[in-house]
Amino acid sequence: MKYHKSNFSQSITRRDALKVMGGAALSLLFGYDHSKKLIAQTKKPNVIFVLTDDHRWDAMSCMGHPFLKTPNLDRIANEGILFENAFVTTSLCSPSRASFLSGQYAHTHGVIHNYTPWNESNTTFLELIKKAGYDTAFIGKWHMPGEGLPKLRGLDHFITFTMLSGQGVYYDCPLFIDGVETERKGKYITEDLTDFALKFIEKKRNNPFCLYLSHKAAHYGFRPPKHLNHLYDDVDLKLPKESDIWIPFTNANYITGQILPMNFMYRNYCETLVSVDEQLGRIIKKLEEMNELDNTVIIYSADNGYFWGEHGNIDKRLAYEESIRIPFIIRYPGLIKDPGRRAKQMALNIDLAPTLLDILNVPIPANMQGMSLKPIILSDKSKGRESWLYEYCSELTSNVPGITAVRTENYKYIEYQNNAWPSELFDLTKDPGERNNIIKTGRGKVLLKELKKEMERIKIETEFKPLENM
Amino acid sequence: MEKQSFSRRILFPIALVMGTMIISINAYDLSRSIENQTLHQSIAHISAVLMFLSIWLGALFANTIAFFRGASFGERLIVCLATPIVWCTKSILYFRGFRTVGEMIFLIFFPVFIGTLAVAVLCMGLSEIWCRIIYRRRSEYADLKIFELSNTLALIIGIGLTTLFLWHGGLFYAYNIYMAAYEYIFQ
Repeated sequence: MKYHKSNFSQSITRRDALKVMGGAALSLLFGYDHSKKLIAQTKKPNVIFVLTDDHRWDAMSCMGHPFLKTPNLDRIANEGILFENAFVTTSLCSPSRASFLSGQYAHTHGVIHNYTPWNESNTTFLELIKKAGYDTAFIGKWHMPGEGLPKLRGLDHFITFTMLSGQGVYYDCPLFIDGVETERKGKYITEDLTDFALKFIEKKRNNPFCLYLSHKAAHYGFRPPKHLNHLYDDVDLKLPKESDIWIPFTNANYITGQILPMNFMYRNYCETLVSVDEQLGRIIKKLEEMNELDNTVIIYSADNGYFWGEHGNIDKRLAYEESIRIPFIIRYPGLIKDPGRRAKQMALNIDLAPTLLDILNVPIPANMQGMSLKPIILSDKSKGRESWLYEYCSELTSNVPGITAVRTENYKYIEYQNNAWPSELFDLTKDPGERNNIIKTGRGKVLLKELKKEMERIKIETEFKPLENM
Repeated sequence: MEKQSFSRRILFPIALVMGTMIISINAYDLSRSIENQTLHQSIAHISAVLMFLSIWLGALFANTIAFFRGASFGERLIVCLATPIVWCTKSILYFRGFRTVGEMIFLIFFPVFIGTLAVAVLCMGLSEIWCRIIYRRRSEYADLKIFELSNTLALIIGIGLTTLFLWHGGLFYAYNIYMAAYEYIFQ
C-alpha cells in the first residue's frame, strides 16, 4: 500500500509472510476486490481525532438544528455512529482537553481549570499509539498553561498557539510549528490548521498515522472566515425560549468576558461552525483521494457544550445538559457494521483514549478511568455505563461555584462548593430541561439517598479529591 | 438655590434611580419564567433597558434632580455613585461562598465595575454642564461658572476612563490585563 509499510520493504517476518500468503489465498478464494477489503481489516488503521471548542451536541444538522447546515458532520454520522448521549466530565477547556488525552478525570490528571498546567508525567494516548508504530501529530489548540510548550512524549509534530493564554485568535494567529514561532498573516485559523493537517495526512510514510486536530473554533470571540461572514444574517435564529439578547450582560455572566448581544454571538457561532464542517470536508476528500477513508478511524468531538440562554446563562461550566453534552461521532467502517446508528449509551470524554487504544489493539493502561466504547461500536446491544461523575473547579473568570455531580441515565444530582448554591436533583426523563428541582419532594428525598450513595461509590472508585483542595 | 430637605435633595434621587434598578433587575429575572414569548421578550427588553439606564446612566437623572434641589457637590457625587456602588457590591456578593476574601476584594477592580463608576462620573460631569446652563438662564446667578474645578475634574476623569474602556475594544484589553494580574496574584 502506498502510504504504509510495504510488506517487502524490509526484512520479512514470519507474520508478514503469513499475511501475504493469506492474502494470496483470499484472492484466489473470493476475488481481488473482496480480498483487498479483508486484508484492509487486518492492517493498522489511521486515526484522525478532530476536537472543536464549545461545540454543543445539537449544533449540527444531523441533530435537527433548525438552520445550521453541516453536511460533512452529517456524513460521518450517517456512515458511522453518533453517540447521542455524550458528555464531558468537566465542562471547561483545559480540564476537558486533558481528559480526552489521558482518559482520566480532572482530579486524576490534575488540570483542574484553565490556569493549571499540564502535568508532564501524565500519559497521553498519543504516546501509546506512537509506541504502537504510528506517526503522530498534534495540530491546534493545546490550551494548557505552563512554562513554554509542554514536552509531549510520542509526538512527531506539534503545531500549536500560545497567544492569549493558548486561546489563539481567529485571524493571523501566530503558530509554534515544531517549536518555531511563525507569523501567519492573512490566515484564518480553522483553514490554516486544516492545511497543516492535510500536509501531515498526505505525507508519504511507512507507518499509519494518528492526527489530533484541535480547532480553536468555535470558542468565544466567534469569527467566521470572510466567505461565511453574514451567512445567517437573514435567518430566524430560534434562540432557546428562555433566551434573550441581554443575557451576556446580566447575572454576573459578564465576568466571563463575553459582553456582546446574544443574537450577534449566536449568529457568529453558527457561521464559525460551518467553517469547521467545511474543513472537515477537505480532510474527508483528501482521504478519499488517497483511498484511505475507510482505513481511517475518524472521531469528532468537542471539549464542552455551551449555553445560549438556557437557565439564564451563556458559556459553560455548569452541570446542566447544555453545558456538558457534546457531539461524539465515530466513523470507521472496519468496525461499524450498522452505519448511521444513534447510540443511546452514555459516552464520556475520558472514553476517547481507551476506545482508540482498544480499536488499535493497544493495551489500555490500568490508570485510564474511561471505558472503551469498542463493544458499543461493535454491537448496539452492548451495555453502556450506568452513571458517572461530573466535577468542576471554579476560577476567577467564572460565575459558578465548584461543582460535583452524578449523572445516571435518568437522574442528575448536583452539589455546589461550600453549599454556595442549593443542591439540585432532576428527573431527566420527565424534566429534560432541568427546570424542576425535586430534591425536597418525597420522591426526591428517596432518590437523593441513592444518588449520594452512587456518587460516593464513584468517588472511591476513582480516588476522588475535591478539585478546589488540589 | 434653595437647599431642600435631606430626603428631597439626596434620598429621593437615589431612591428613584436605585428603585428603578431593583425593579428592573427583578422584572428581568422573572421574565424568563413567562411562557408567552411576546410577553417574555417585551418585559426582558424593557427591563434590560431600564436596568442599563439606571446602573450606567442613572447619574444623568440623579445629579440633575439633586442639583436643582440644592445638593452640594459632595452630596451630588454620592447621589451619582450610590446606584453603581450598590450594583457592584451586589455583583461582588454574588461570589460569596466560592471566592476567597482576597479574590472578592480583587473583583472590585474588574473592568465592568470600574466602568460603571467611570461612566457615572462622566454622566455627572455632563449633567453638571446642562444644569448650570439652565440654572444660569433661569435665575439671577448669571455669573455662575459652567466649568468649575470640581465638575470639570469629574468630566475629565469620566471622559478619560470611559474613552479608555471604549476606544479600540479597550474593555477587552482591560479584561485581559485584569485576568493576567489575577493569574499572577492568585495562581
